[in-house]
Amino acid sequence: MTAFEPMSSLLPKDSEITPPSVVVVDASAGSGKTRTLTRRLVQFLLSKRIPHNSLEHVLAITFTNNAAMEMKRRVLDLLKEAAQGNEETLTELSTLVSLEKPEIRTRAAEMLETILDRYGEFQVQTIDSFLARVFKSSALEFGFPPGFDIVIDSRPMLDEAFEEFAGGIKPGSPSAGLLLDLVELLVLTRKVDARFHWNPYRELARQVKNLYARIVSTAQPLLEQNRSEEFEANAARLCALVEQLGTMLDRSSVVPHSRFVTYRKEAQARRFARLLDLQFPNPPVLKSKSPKIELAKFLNASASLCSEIEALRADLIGVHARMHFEPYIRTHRLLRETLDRIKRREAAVDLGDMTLRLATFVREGAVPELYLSLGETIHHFLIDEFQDTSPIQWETLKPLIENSLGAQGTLFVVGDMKQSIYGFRGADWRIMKRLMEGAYFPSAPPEILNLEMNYRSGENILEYTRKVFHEIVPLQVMSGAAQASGLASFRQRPRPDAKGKGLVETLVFEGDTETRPEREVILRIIGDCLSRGYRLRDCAILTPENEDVVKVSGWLNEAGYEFIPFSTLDIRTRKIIGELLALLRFLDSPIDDLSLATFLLGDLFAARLSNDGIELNTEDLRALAREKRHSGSRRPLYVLFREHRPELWERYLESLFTLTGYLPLYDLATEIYKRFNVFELMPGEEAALVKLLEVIQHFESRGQNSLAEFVEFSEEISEDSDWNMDVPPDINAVRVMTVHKAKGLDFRVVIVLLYDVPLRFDRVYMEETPEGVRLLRLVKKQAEDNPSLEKLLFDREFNGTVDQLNKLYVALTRAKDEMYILGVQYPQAKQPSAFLPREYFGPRKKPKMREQSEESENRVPLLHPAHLRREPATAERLNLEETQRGERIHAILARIHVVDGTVAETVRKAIEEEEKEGGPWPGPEDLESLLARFLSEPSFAPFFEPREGRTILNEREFAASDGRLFRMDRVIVDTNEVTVVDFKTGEEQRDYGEQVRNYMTILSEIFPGRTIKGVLAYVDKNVCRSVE
Amino acid sequence: MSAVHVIPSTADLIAEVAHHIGVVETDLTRMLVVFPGKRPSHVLRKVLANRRGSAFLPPLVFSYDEFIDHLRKEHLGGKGRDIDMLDAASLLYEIHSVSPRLGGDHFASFDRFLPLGFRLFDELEELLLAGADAKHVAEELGSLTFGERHLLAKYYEEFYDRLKRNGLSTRSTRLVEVATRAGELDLSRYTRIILAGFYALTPTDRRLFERLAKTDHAVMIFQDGPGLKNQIGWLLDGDDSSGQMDLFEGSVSSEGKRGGPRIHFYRSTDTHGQVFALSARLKSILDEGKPLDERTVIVLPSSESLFPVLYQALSLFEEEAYNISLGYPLARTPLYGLLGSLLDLVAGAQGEAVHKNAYFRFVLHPYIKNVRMTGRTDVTRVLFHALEETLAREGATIVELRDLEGRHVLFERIAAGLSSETEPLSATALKEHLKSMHDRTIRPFLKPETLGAFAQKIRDLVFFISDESTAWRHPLFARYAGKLLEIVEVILRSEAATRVFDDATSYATFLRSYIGPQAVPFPGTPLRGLQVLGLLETRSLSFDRVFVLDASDDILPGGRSAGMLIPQKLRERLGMETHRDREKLIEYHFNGLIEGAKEVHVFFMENDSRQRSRFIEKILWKQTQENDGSPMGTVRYRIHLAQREPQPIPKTESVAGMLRDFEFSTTALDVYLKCQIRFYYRYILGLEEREEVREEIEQLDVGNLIHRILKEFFDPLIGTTLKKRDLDTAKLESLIDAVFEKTFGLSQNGAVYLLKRQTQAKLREFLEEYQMKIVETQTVELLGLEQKVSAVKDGAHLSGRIDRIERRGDGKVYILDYKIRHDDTPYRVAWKKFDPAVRKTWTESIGSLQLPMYNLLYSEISGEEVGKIVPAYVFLGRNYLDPTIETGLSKDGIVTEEMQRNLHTVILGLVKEIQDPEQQFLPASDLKKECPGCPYQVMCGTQWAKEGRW
Repeated sequence: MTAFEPMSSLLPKDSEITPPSVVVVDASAGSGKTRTLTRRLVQFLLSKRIPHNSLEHVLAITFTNNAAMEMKRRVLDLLKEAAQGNEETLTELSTLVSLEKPEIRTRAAEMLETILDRYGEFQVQTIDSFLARVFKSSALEFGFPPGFDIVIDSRPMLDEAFEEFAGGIKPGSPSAGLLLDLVELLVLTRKVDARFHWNPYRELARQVKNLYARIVSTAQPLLEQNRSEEFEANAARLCALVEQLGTMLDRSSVVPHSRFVTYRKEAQARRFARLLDLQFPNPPVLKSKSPKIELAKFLNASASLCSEIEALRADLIGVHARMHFEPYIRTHRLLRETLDRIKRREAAVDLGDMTLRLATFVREGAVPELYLSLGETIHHFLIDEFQDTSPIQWETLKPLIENSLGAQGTLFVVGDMKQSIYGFRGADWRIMKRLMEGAYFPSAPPEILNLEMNYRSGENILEYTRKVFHEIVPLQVMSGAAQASGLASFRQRPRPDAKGKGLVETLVFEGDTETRPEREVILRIIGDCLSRGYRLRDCAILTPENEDVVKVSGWLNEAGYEFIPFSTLDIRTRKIIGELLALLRFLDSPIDDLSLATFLLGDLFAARLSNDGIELNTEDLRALAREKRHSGSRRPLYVLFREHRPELWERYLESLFTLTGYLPLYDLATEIYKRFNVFELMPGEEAALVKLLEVIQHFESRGQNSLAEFVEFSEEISEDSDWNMDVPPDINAVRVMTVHKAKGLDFRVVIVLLYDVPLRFDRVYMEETPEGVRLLRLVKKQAEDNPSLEKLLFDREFNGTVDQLNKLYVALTRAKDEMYILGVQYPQAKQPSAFLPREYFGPRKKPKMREQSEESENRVPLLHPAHLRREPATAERLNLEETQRGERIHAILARIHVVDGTVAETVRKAIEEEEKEGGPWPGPEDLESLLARFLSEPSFAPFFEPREGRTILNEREFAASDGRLFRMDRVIVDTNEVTVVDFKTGEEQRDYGEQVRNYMTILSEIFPGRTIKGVLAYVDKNVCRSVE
Repeated sequence: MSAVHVIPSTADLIAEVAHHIGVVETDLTRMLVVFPGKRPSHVLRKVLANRRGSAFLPPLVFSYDEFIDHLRKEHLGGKGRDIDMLDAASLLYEIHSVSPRLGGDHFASFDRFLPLGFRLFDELEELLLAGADAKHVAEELGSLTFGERHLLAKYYEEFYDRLKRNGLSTRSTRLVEVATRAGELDLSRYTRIILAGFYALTPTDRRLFERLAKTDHAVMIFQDGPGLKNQIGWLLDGDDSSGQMDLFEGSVSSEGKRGGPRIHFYRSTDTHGQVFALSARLKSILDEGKPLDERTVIVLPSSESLFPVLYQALSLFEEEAYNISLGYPLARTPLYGLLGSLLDLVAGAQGEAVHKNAYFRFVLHPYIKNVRMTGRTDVTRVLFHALEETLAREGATIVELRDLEGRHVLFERIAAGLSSETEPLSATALKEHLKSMHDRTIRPFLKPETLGAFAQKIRDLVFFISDESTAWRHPLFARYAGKLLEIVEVILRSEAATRVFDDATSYATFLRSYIGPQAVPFPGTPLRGLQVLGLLETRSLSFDRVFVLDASDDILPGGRSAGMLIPQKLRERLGMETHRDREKLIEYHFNGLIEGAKEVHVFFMENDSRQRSRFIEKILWKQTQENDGSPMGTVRYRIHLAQREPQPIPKTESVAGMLRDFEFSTTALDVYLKCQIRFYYRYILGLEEREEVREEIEQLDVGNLIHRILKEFFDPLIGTTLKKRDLDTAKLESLIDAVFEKTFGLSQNGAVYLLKRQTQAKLREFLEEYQMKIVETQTVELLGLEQKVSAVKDGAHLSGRIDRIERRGDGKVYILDYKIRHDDTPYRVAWKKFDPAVRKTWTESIGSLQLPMYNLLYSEISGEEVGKIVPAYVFLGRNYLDPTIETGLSKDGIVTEEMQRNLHTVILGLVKEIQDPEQQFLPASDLKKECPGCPYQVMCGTQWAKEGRW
């Protein structure tokens, strides 16, 4: 068991906490951040000294669902331990809470009960779900109806908005005019040999969708810059100046520089973007070939003109960089109204937009109102992984926290700026830095706590990481980059039992895209680890990019090692799923020969046939397709298949073909599973097969169940994990994942694969100014010639370097026992292999593992029973009108006990009564005359006569001897006999008699000794039949 | 005074009620029993029947709502029409129409107000039952200026005033009426009144219960469970007649019951894991020969799991062996899906012009494409798929219904294909059929009318589907359709029937907010076999063996209902139900279900967005305290992630034979060069991806369009030397107009409009900046356009189609190929890597064999020297055009005759290789580059190679 440092050395006791208070725990990887946060949360819940600490006033925020669930579990476990009197836990808690141990135990038990009782108020949530709750509670204010949805993916709504917006673009319409301007701008901002947009609308839509996340992620207003006129005017001036210089050159005898000739040509062609790409040659002459005196004269005369050209070009570069996204931002603005309308219409808002609206709202001082709508006020905020907060999230949270601090509240955050690797998603570690510097809450200066003990890795691994970031990196990267997020200064101590433990081996070698030497190295390391007693599941390979996960998985695949590629768990990457989707595509569109062939030539069909003892020569099937092609036949392939192999068609496909006509999607899928016995024939694919059923079920839950729509949906590239299969945590397989995926995880053996590649930067740059944010496109080659952009370029590089270093830090801090760093060198860059110490860190002889017992888990047996298909229904038509008519006739007759007076009067009265309750009869038919005629029929008259001792039971319920309930239309109880009359509309039917006979049996048991009679009365036919 | 009994949670409530009924006489009609819900009545009658052994007149057994209606109607003479939530929302809108209004101006129109109106109605009904008067409401909500929620008091007061004035009633007004007039009730006609199984009572319910408590022959039976003491404390307070109370004592039915049941937990990451584990459990019980009858229940707190359970677990049984009583959301039925597609189609339509994509989404719905024509189901299917195929090849994204109905040539083709001697089919009949389908499905919905008319159209559509398609063959279709028609009736009768939505798209919203959430009942035969019930359906019932699925916290008890108009704190103060009360109620029922059983199996989902129910946590904690523990099983799927390497395909004799006569086009050779397997599937088997209708204009469409325009423009100039005056931009523009009109029809809005503008600008630039400049510098004699060329060389049949051939002033023949792209990289030859003697280098270095093939072919057919033929691409897709858009096979523009000849060697070498019977078709050497996007990936086994994943 890991010996943890006493919490008392880290967290102050509740008696020492004096709200308002802000505490920042700055800690490295593996130092127990979440553990500390959990303790603080439990401390707050148990304390009797901290004000406003009841459940609904405390909020713990995480960034992922998993983290939230993990934290809830930890809190519950801790409370359970305390409530059960675990001495160690009570001792620990007694250092945090000013209570005696027995009282802590009682309070822990009470708190546990409270949490389990009011679980909804136990607020350990992701930031998104908390903000969503706040937003939803104030939906009305934002113009959303109750019960609206918050969607993660904004693309479908943006698509719809574009589609709707497009409908309004017509020659001469205002929107068309605006769009044409934007199209011109699009051409203007692009390079000479750039792609021309034949379909600019598509490009605008694509770019706006890409930029949307950024547009809604900025907490500051997005500045729109209409600088195209300025650009055009200045660019024209630049061309004029170049021409002026050219004319000067023409008139002199100096020899122009060839680059100037080109430059001048481009200026004459007014290719503005090209003029920014090309360096202006200053001086524009070939000195060596020009006559000296003339040259001096020319240089003298042209110097100021040249400087002006250079300055103007530099200026234009700045304008151009700021103009690039102008068309898209303006398109977005044009679209905003349509988008808003769609969001309200569909009662849905995307997460980004929701946060933006909320941020704007809280900025305007609506915090108390928000809390009122929410129904509770948060007094204590605890935030995990604080370095992952984005500016817009912070802008929303800050006023809420400010409000709490003003009311004796507290803020407790834990984070590690060094592990900030989600910059691309908007996370900004500088928020944590500023918080630590006291920039946000003047009323509560922050208290900084450092966690120095590492509970994860052996000492040698810690030493390696220290050496990399403290000794090597600072010397090799741009000044200050290693210091910025704390990489150059963190402190970590190994836990006492980890002293001297752990090993790190660095292998740096030259890369070769052909032979891939790293492949052999990885396989060798895994082989070695296995030989020393590690299991495959103990090993993880961390890669820089998703594509490397695919690549490494391929190597493991070839070598026969089981592996889990965490970036490619999409079931659509499984062949069997591809075949099933092909079958669905074929069923949706039988003329789709390719899909049918894909299925027929696939593994599943072959397995099913072989299982059924049918031999199938694949070549025969191929020959069929060939024959079709050869003959030029227009008949679909399935028709040919049906003709050539009717037995196979009938046995396997025909019924599916028919069922597609009416079975809903899920039903059809289960039918296919049954027909092809998928679980039995493809046992290794169980996870993927189950996931497909799940996907279909979820798809239907969105109100979509047409096969065609599903086929379309299955072809969409989705970024979320909807199609990912679940991986059993205990599976004995090597984990392969990107460093990003590995954050928060640890493994016994980690192989880190690093490639020397130049830093890649995002070309979209967000320039923060006091007025708001500008989106810029930074192109290094150009930006270097513009001083204001150069500064931004530097910032971008600086931030990019910090991000890369952080990523390296995350990679180097995942291993518990052994770490292997593979630095693959390529000529185009020197890093990160240059950061890696080449020496070996660890014991001389690599340790052997003791045999490890597998954790026993109670695995549940599963059964995939064959699906029982319901037979098709036989009723050909909905008889709604007939049913309604029948019900109305029954209702009227139920109101008639006896014919009192004339039949016509009795019927009219019953109809009037019925209409009072059931409304007027909507049908055209005259029921009054029908029923009057019916009641006037002599054979029915006796049933409606008033008689002495007669009791009429209309629509009365009777229970049969097995308890079943029967409602009989009319039971006439006379002294010696009982008659049951069942009214029928429509035609006579044979089984009606059975029903009446059953009634008669019931009545005979209730009225023993009396004669029981049964009558079927056909209202439309005016016929009365006795039932024997 | 009545007797109040509280029986233990382990007791059987129904048995207790039966016990209080006493001897089962023939006529029990003077006994009245009330349960919260409807289902217990069946079980009670069965218990009574078992005791009696013969038929009888059963007691009146009511659900609470039926009881209220009975009292109101039969005892108090209550009248007034009941209203539905739609009527209510319509009435509320009248109040809402006057400013200031709830939500400011966000919900000013009826369309926008409707979803809010539904919620508003719910909350007002709750307020009424809470017994709050308008003044109190105004006081409590006064501080809620946020979203103008303080106005709720106004809505509250006015709404119920209006109802009263119009003689209308709601569930709450009926309950209030009965409770208020409870003193007038004469219940003497009943010998006994039993109220059983109640838990959460509103202040209004309490008033009625108080009155009933004063009735001597009334018996109230409560079942113990979490929070019950708090719930019925009021019944005990202030009552000193404790002699009549039989509280918390043993009861007749609890005799013989043991302590707690045996509970088994099953953890799964998803729905199906639970269901497959349930299947295995059921099977093992069956194998043990134990009964799975009406004493066993499968509880589905979420209807989401109904169909998985039905198909993946209940398939172990015959249909008669189980009974399902559960509401299933209409939104999950195919009929709703069909309506959704139709209304989406309508929402995007302008007049009769509809989006092609939306149109096919609708007509390819199984219910539409299987509509019968002259008794056949294949005609409509073939018709729509053929229409889809045809339209996929056309550029327009919007089509007019009339245009579709006028496609005579297509109808003739289909008619010819589908006609037989016995079943002749004419093009006219097809046209009529299509028109009639449009008339009966899409057209009626295109004109926005009243809500009532809209409902009527839905009704007509349902009947159309039912009468004309195969939809009815689905065993549940009639049930789904019946529910929808029921809703239609409600709309038709509603106050809202005369309202018209401002925005045509609101009908789709209405479908989602009003129709979608309604539940289709699955009423089975309640007393037969294994029971499958929702959680609320198990109220008041006991089972021996209980299976609970979906015991995850977001389902059991479910998330906090956000979006309430009255915040929780104020709900508490106003006496309304809070989320805590709701959770307590669910816990009470869950607890009752578990406690009453002998054996319990609880299945739950745990994954990154779901956690086990708090109720499970409670049970586990209780067990921990008692040093007890339930077995916890985990569902794990078998998983194997290895991928198969793509396998070579052997060349059979017949394939080899076929290849001997094969005509090799440039595209076929290019495909072969990159991936031989792709070549096999595409050219040997002739398998191609089906063209699909797309919403957007694709690159391919643009390419065809540009080629067509340029062909038509230069066609008259073939055989002439191009003059400046030939390059007439005005002529070009009118040609573009004509081609666009032919391709996209007259209405060229949206993206088509922009595409046309761009095409005009770019082709004008092409004439002025490229063509004109070439003509200015040298003579250009146009020799041919889109010329098909073919030749037999070394026994191989080669062919190609050349976009343009011209002879220029330098005496050379230029063979030009238009590209609408901007980048020549994919077409180039990497000469440094290229070695004609090394086969491996061909694939790696040659982008395309198109130009060398043209060069070879042209020299063959014209006898022109290879060196005098200059093949080049013309990249029209560059941002700026000038003569440099014309590029050849090398970056520096130098392609010597030797280089050309080397490439000819490659072409002939490839042909030879393809025809060699010994050579297999091999997979691509660079899977990363070649596989993503290939249509044969699944067949090949490289489906894992996806764009963006590398």
